[in-house]
Amino acid sequence: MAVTTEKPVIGVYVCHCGMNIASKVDTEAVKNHARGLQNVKVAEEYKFMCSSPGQDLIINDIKKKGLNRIVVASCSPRMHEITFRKACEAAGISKFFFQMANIRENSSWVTPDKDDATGKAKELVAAAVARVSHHKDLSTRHVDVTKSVLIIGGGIAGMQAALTAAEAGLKVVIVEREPSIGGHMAKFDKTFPTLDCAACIMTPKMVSVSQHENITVHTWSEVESITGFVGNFKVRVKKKPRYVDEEKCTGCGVCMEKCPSKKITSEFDEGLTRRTAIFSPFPQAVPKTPVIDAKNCLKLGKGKKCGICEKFCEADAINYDQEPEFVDINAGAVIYATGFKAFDPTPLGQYGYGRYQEVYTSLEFERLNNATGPTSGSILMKNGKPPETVAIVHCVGSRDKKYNTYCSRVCCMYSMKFAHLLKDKTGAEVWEFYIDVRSPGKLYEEFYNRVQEEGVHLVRGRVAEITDIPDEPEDIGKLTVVAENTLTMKTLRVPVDMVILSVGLEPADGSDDVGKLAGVQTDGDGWFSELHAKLGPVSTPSAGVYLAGCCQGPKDIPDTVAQASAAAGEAIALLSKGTVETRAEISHIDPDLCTGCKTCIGVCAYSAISFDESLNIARVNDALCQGCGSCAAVCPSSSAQVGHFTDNQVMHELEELLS
Amino acid sequence: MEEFRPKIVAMVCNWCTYTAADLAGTSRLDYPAEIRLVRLMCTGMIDPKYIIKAFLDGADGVFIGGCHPGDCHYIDGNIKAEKRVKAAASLLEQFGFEPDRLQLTWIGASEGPEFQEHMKHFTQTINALGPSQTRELMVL
Amino acid sequence: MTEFAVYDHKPSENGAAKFFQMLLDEHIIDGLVCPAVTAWSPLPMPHLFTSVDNPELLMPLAPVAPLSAATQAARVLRSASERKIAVVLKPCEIRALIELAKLNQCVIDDNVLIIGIECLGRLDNQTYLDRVKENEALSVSFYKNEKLRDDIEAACRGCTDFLPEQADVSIVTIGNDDATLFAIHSEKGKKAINKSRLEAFEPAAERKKQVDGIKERRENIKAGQLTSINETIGSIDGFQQIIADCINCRNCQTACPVCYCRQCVFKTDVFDTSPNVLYKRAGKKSGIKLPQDTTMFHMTRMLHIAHACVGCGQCTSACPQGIPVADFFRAAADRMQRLYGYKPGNDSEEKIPMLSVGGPDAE
Repeated sequence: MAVTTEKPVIGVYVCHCGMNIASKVDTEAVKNHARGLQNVKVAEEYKFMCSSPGQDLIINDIKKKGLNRIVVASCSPRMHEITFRKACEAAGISKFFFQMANIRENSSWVTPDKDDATGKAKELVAAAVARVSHHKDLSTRHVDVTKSVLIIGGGIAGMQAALTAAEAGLKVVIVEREPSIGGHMAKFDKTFPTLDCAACIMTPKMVSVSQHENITVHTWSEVESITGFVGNFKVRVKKKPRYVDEEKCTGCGVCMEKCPSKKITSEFDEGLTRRTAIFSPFPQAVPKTPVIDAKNCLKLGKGKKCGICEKFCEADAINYDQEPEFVDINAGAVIYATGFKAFDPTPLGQYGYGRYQEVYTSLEFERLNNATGPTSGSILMKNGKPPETVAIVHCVGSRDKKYNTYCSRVCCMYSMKFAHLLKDKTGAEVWEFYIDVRSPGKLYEEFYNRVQEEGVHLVRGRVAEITDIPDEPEDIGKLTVVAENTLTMKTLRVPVDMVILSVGLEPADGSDDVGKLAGVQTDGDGWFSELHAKLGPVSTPSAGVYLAGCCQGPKDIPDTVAQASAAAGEAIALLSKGTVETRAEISHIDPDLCTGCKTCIGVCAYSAISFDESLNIARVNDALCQGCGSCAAVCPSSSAQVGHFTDNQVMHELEELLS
Repeated sequence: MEEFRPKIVAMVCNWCTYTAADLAGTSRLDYPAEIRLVRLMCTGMIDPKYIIKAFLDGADGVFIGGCHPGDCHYIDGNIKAEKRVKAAASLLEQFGFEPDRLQLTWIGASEGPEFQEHMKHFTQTINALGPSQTRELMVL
Repeated sequence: MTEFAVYDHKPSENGAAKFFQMLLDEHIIDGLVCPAVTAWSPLPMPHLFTSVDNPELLMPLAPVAPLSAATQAARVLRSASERKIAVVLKPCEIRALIELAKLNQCVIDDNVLIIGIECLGRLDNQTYLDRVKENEALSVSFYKNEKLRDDIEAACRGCTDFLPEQADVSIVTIGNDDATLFAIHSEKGKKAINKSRLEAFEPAAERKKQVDGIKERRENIKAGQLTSINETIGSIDGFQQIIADCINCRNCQTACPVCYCRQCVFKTDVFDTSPNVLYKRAGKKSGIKLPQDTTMFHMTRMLHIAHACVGCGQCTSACPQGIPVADFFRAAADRMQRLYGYKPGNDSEEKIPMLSVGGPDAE
């Protein structure tokens, strides 16, 4: 668009918005007032400016009456600025020669008195007219992008996003901090509501991911730094040393058999079993290559003479001298899929977790159900016997002012699932203590009904206490659950063999630090902040950075998979054209005025300003700048100005409002 | 005697407070008509000279609304704004402007009712203070 | 404990100048920025010397500063170089130079030697020239004779920062009747003095008493000045009393050493009120005073540099209308610097308030 050298010739359009504006604002009076303003050539009113005929009104006037600036007095610019800007472009003038006066949300809808509303509308229109007279055309440019995606986290969300993006032809790199991909889903036995075996539905995905030609997986790795900008991120990945050569290892497992250090608490089994120092978390791990937990390794961590794994490894894959390796990657987009962690119920002393050995968290109970777990899939107490009565306590660490006020969304359903599995595998009597039963998904309510029909006792009441002091002598050795049935208003004391605490979900450890690497913020509960709760659930305010799965908020597997594909879809859309357009409303530093004091560089949150040592001036990177205006606000000579929010424009708007 | 109708300028950020104002609009929560909103992308965009300009131009009150700390769309523009507003406030007070005439408040995007409350309350405050010393002085 | 070194035990008008000559002759420094007179005028202006042919022309102790030498020193020190340059500056000029270094307008590195002057104030240019005409020796005698200091500028009367503590070396004038004496403030200064082979010296015990006395008197005067000006500017109406005659010439901005913009924003069109608005305003009152951006100029300038104002008073000196600009700037500076807990020119490592995170204003 050429720089305009003509005087402003302004058209003002006052919208009725049906009765929304017209019922309170005298639109004719506003129109007439506009007619008398400086540089205004045309002032019209119309019922619905955003409609086709409304827009045509503007387009025709621009073409026929030589208008070069447009003001529309209607709703919020957040609503229709884009609409009217497009109309201006269609008519052949720059979309930046447009300004909206919000006389609906800011006047007619919030001002009971008609005279006041009209007076305010007149002033807002005058201010818009004064401002638009100082608008300048802005330009953008296109920057090439790297057609690849970085995915942080290799659970079901990360894998799903990876497969979608890889199928679209993008190169994908997954960085997973555990020794294997699979995430939490790898720990589950059956998944609700269909009772699919988690491993059965997930391992094919794990294999696809590991074999896909477009996907590279770095496990036992972490992202160290992310710099750059949308379409051009530069990422540094730190691959922690496995001490096992991935190329040579055949996955035979002899090293794990022979390792003398056998007493380490297994993280994968939620502390229910022990593992060796050289280990692979679960049999279906991808990659199969084990890692050496250096801290607990006799040789590497305790300085003792060992080396047994090396001795027995026929593939000669053990390498005690491995160092961390750094890999530098270029990515066009970043998807966070860092998942969640289960709430630790230890602080809730009244539930006895950690004190009573038969109080389990839901994840621990999953491991009991899983065939690769400590009891090979049978539900057994620590004394080796199956339980005869089990209590399942809902909302542990969720819907709780003292811990997390939110609902973790999946616990009711998995609690129902547990009830069903217990009935199925042990025939035990099952008590569920709930506040509300939340079963919103497809087939969820049906599953809930089925579980009720299986004879599960459902008690509406929060569990007050779990105690090992029985009411009757025959219950010695059992746990007693104390709760009030709020529907019958009677206190219950139920003796049980086993208690399962349905713990809520919390953001994964370290997620907020890794989020900061790409400027992703967290909300009040620590989950990553999406761009817009309804209209932008997988995007973030940082261009090119997306969210998938529980890292954005607790959700079940169907929603996670959907969101993961959505995030991948956004990344695909972003990178599909091969270039990204820089923003127009960004800062620009006038090289003739800049005195080189570097104050702007010090306040830029995006490190978007660099210093030209030869000319001694600051310069804005138009691809990094987000247009926040911090530099402009701090520059005393006003050499730094944000396009479309220049001093001139804001000062004249203020001046007119106050005149 | 003509009733005192204060002139109040509210400089608000697009992502949070302006959105809250829109929400107040869609929820039909009315507030005094004396409030004039100036939409900026971020409170961090507010050059302190805009505040001085507003007061010298005869504003009886200046309200600045931005995102809660930690929520800024541009990470910490609001924190930077707070510092500058404090400097402007100090200077203005030195020159005889009552400190309550300038208010910096955090209003989140979903806080329509809070926006209404703040607008009502601020207008009340300004009404009680009466016209600003620059209203009639007409000096710049 | 400040160390002292003596160059010459005889008091003389240009003892210091001879010391500088020696520094250049012996290549301890390669260049010197120092006030000196020219063939055309007895008013000493900053000069850049590579050798001192005639020490009589150098006037480091002259109680006058036609302009803030900080700006000129910053010009010479614009970028780092291998040359060793000494700059002879008054305390306010040193502090301004340090502020300019923070703003990347000059470089103060190991090759820069700051030579301060214990300053007891300056006369305005015309008064100085009149005194010169009356053939008054104006360097050493000015420091000895209190009466000669009666008409120093208002900013100087209330200045409590008259000891150049940020210099590397400074010329001692207070409590010193005997010698061309230097105080050493830094390792850099010490090296230069040692290279010059100056003897250590113990100043008279009188000195501390005199310094404390001056400081106390100045504190009281400053407090009085601030109270008085704050009362006047405590309303816009009161402020107009002082700035009514301002002609928007921007001399104060040009003279100010810490006002560093290449082009002042007030010279652009940002503040041009539209004629429409001017007319509307005039209509409300039957007439308005033009130009319309006078108050805005002074208040914006205060916002921009109050934290860095070193109280040199050059703004008042430069004003053709006799407006006491330094009075209200020092008042704004006093308040702004206390708000930020910031002392300009005090510590080159202390970040300017806009760039520091945390600090007293962070609450």
